[in-house]
Amino acid sequence: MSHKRLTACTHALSWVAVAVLALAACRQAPAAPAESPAAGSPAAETPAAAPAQPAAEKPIIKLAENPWTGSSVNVYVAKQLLEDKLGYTVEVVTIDENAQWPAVAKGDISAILEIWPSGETHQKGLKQYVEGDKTVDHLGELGVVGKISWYVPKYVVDQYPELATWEGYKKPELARLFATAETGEDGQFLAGDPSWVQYDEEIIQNLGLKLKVVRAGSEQAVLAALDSAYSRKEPLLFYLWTPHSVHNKYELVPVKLPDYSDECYAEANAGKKACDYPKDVLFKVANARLKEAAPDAYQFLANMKLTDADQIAMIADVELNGKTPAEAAKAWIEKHEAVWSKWLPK
Amino acid sequence: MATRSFALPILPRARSSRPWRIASVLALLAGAWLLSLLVPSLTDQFPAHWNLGLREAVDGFSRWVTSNRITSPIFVYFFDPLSTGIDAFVRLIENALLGAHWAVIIGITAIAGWLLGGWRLSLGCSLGFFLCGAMGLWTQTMQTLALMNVSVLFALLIGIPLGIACALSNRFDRVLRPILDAMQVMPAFVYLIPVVLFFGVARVPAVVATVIYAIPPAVRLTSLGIREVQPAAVEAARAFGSTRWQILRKVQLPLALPAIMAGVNQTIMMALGIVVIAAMVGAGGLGREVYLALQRLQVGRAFEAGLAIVVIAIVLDRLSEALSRIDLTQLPSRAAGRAPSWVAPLVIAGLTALCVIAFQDAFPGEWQLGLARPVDGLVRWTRDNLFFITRPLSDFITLYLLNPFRDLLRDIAPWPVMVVAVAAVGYFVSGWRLALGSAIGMFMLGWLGMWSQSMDTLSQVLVTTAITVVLALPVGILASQSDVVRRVLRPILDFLQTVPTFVFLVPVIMLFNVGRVPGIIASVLYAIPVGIRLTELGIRQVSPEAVEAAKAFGSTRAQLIVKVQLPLAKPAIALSVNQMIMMVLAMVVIAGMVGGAGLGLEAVIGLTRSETGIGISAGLCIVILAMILDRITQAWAARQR
Amino acid sequence: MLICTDIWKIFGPTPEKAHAALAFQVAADKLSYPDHVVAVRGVSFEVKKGETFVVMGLSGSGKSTLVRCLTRLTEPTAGQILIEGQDVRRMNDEALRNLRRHKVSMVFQNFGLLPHRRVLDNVAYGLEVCGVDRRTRNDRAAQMIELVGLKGWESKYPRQLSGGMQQRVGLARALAVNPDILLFDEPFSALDPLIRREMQDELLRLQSTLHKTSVFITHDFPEALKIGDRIAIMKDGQFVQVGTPQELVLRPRDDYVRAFVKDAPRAKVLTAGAIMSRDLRGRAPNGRTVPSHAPLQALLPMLAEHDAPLTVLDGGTPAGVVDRAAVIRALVEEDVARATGA
Ligand SMILES: Nc1ncnc2c1ncn2[C@@H]1O[C@H](COP(=O)(O)OP(=O)(O)O)[C@@H](O)[C@H]1O
Ligand SMILES: [Mg+2]
Repeated sequence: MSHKRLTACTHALSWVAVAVLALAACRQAPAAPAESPAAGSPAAETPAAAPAQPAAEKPIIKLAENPWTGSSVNVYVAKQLLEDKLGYTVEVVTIDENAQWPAVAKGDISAILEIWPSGETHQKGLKQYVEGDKTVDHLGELGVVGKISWYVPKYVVDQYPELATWEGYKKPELARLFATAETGEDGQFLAGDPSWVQYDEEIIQNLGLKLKVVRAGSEQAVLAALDSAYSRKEPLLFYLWTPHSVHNKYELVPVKLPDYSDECYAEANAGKKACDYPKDVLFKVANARLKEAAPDAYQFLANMKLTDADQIAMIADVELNGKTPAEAAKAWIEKHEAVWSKWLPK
Repeated sequence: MATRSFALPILPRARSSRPWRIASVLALLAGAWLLSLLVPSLTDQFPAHWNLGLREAVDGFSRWVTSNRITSPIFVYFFDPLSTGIDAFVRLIENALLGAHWAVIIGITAIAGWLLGGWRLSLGCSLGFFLCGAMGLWTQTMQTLALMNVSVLFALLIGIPLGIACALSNRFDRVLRPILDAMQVMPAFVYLIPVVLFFGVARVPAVVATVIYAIPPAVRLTSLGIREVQPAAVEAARAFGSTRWQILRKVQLPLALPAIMAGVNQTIMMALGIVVIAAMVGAGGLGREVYLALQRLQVGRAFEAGLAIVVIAIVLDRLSEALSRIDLTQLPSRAAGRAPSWVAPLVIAGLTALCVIAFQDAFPGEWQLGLARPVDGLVRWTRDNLFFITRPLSDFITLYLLNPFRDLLRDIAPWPVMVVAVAAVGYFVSGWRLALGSAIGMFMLGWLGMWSQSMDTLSQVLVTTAITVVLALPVGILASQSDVVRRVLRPILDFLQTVPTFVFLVPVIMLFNVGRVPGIIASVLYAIPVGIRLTELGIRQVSPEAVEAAKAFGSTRAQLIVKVQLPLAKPAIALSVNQMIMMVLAMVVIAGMVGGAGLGLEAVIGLTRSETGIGISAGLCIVILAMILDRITQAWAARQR
Repeated sequence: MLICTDIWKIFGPTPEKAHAALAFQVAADKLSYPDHVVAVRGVSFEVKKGETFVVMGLSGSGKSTLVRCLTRLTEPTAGQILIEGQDVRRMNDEALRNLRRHKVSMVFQNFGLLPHRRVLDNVAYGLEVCGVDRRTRNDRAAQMIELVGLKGWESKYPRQLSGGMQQRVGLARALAVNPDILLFDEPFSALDPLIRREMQDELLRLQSTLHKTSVFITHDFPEALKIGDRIAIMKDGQFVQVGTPQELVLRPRDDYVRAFVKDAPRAKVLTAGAIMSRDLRGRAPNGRTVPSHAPLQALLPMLAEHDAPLTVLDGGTPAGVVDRAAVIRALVEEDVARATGA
């Protein structure tokens, strides 16, 4: 009839041809790439392909992966053991640590394997979900013990040994080494990720240090600033913790503050803190209903325990040897049957 | 001319003369200052007890939500099924994209490109997707694409009907407009946690957050398109007794289609803008790559993922742009001038089939195109070699631009003076309505308990905008004069506009130190493409008759620019300034993540400490600042006409 | 057929108030009402069945507003409009829609075609909105397209047509619903002079068979003379004078009308009957007769041939005589009525 009708027809025809082709190519769709070809960082999850599995009555276990290597390797150790030894399907959900609490409370996430008590969110989460409405169970310690400190690169201490302890920062001429345009006369103390407890302003004031806090706003910002300063051997004083993959890359020294004491952190002492941060005993939590839904997985996760050395070894494997977290976890599992066999429920 | 003794002129309304108005405003300012001298207790700082109490209310609400999350019927019967549905839908699309052979996806894109634009578009699109595969990001690209498709679909399903309603009802339009403004300016960070509360983690909250962010352009452009349909066509339809619905369906919608398609295009671009943020709640895909790589300072890896996002953006942009360019009134002639239109698709389909037979489903790993290493090298090189320029530059900006300006706004001028001053600006560019609105807005900043943070942010935003304008105008003028410059600029601007800002945060911090400056640099990079584009467009759209006339009188090129093009392009340039401010405001939170303090940091705190109340308050303050600055610059732009 | 009484249209914030103030004042044209535009000011007229009523006025005089008031495309401020005895201003939406769908069609100055529809679909639009099925309406549209001489262009888009052709489409579209009344708002003003003349002839040709009641708006006096059975001269929203072309030419009411009439093609407009002398004495019928409605144009060759006067026949009986001198006087003098002493 008309040109338009004709073209419309041919257009439609070619689309149909493509669609048919697409369908034809989809024949092996369910066998979607189990391990993606992506190399480098951990392979992207394709949980999409999972539900077709026969594990009918076994629920899918969803583990939270936070964006640091330590969290990743824990999760992949647990994932591989849960899948191979207990026959579960495990999905890894990459999520910001601050968004995970409501999710684990509701069951969108089954368990979180590495929580740092110093996170402000986590204190709240514990109070609200674990102690409060009991939608989340405390699964005990992970075994790894962390610690927040003030750090300087080693070359700073080499040059100015006084800066290894807090007294050194009382001296204006030494503190000024750290000064920037933002801080003027005082030295800059780079405070990190705002999600962490930070008493630095209190500590600085109560110890009378010539420092001024600049809030970096994110962990990445601190790391980038460190990388830059380190490359030029410039002084930098910042808030960080261990274990952290950054210690594999740079030689950092914690600044010695007055020792931690319970009195120093007592409620009555609010606003007057003048001592070091406490140790961070990392812990695990799970959704409360996991206990009934998957008792053996629950038991396994509660039993799971890594040492500092275990985690640091795996982190190094990823950071220095270029393995993916999954590969590093696999290597560790192969070597440490004695350790993980104890985690399996009897 | 027509005699029109009855067309009565509008009588000039009695208005006080300009000097008188200036005097009264000055008097008001002086009064405010005097007041602050007399009652320093009230005016030194915004009184803490004048507080709206929003923070507590929000926190109370989110406590209620978290403790009723599992039992309340509204969740059990509404949000949960909704989440399940969305999740299933995204997974469906994801499975389809991942299940299909990679060559088929590329083939389909190629055919779509060919049908919509021709062989160049076809080749460009397929090469783009191929690049994503070659960077080892095929799976992630498909995941992001799936998420994107679903989000855009929802955004359009909601946005287009709203846009129609806005076009048909002025009242609805007036109600919806500020809400859309707020949706667009409110940082996604702020509503990420609430969205998680309601919709759980992973794909669903990502879709919801993306939809919230991407709806406004769909609504705006649909409404604009319908309102701008030639009135003659509508009148004719009316004269033939069409019902309102018939007019809409048979006349307005078809004629508004190009504008609606432009809305689709914008929606896609917006949706791609929060891919990385969506990754923070488990959305996966390319955003996750950027997010993980950044945490490990792998700039190269982040760059690759960012580049893949840019590729998707450009491919979808060009495809949807081509779609919106298809002019319904010209279809037959277009098609008539073409070779039989099934040859090329068949060729592409044939090639695709060959690839399907020859290669396995997964994108061949050996076709690796490693960009990470060179990029990492480049970053290291700039870190080691450019610092001697960037450090002094950074210090200069901090000491001589940011500090004095911040001190003035935040510390020197008492808050009543600031309120009056902003209101005065509003009064002079528009009138007492804007003045009142601005004053209320400024007051709200204090009332929300964020006065000093707001002033800090305001000073940064103004300095950043000034820098952006200074850089964008000359480049825009240059681009308007030379097609070569324009062609060279286009991919760069496209890249800057679509690459997730997160990707260049690390290098920027390395070069400029933590503090307010890296945020400023990132914001300038983000806002400058729009500035350049709109300036260029404004100048290029100056009426050719005027230019011709000027040429006929023997103007030199410089005279032509200065005496004709720039003055005539002034309204467009003023609008571009407005857009630049909005873009800079959109970056406030990002700035907060690299040491920018102010409202951005508060918003980050809101997210990272689950302090929803603080987050929402900070977000609202950003929205308020945005509205004040937007209305003032819009009014100022309108005065340039 | 169409009767309008005292129609007003005032644009502005409070048109009713303005109307009350203006309509009931003496010497109203001296009065002003701030912020309002009085586009139509107390206009009354009647159009008989089959008649073509032309409204002529300069731009801005309110013609478009007036014609849009007739079907309430613009809502009139005051006045009464009767179409076939029905009061248009009292109609509800439904009745009004039916009026626009079946009774009254309109042709627009800028054609008002729908750019996204092909010619056929444009012409069928009026039928489409009243729910006529596709086949019937396409048949009817094809007929109309043929009627206006556009056969073969059905599947083109408006943009591909010249202005004249586009207006033919507009005409076909208006005719397709077979309305009783046609409204034309300066339909040919956007066309080149040659095309315009062609379209005028086309319209006259159609009218000679269709005999539609029409209201025709124009700003061009010659066009009004050519097309109108009766002409209203509009100025500042008011009718200055209403009459047949001949009446206007012979007896312009004021200088405003006279100014238009001055350049009128008098040979075409004036008829023998209008300038004849009724004195039949002493003039023997010599076989040289003309009907009284013959334009002077038709008399000129006869008078050029021979000097003898012509006998004017009215309905077959001699009613008067015209001689060479009378014709020449009528053609050059402005006020013929005065010259002939009629
Ligand atoms: N919608 C409107 N609002 C205000 N004034 C109008 C409107 N439409 C027409 N007018 C005014 O009414 C007068 C008559 O306009 P119009 O009817 O279009 O004149 P014409 O068709 O004779 O050129 C003009 O002065 C015009 O400015
Ligand atoms: Mg008109």
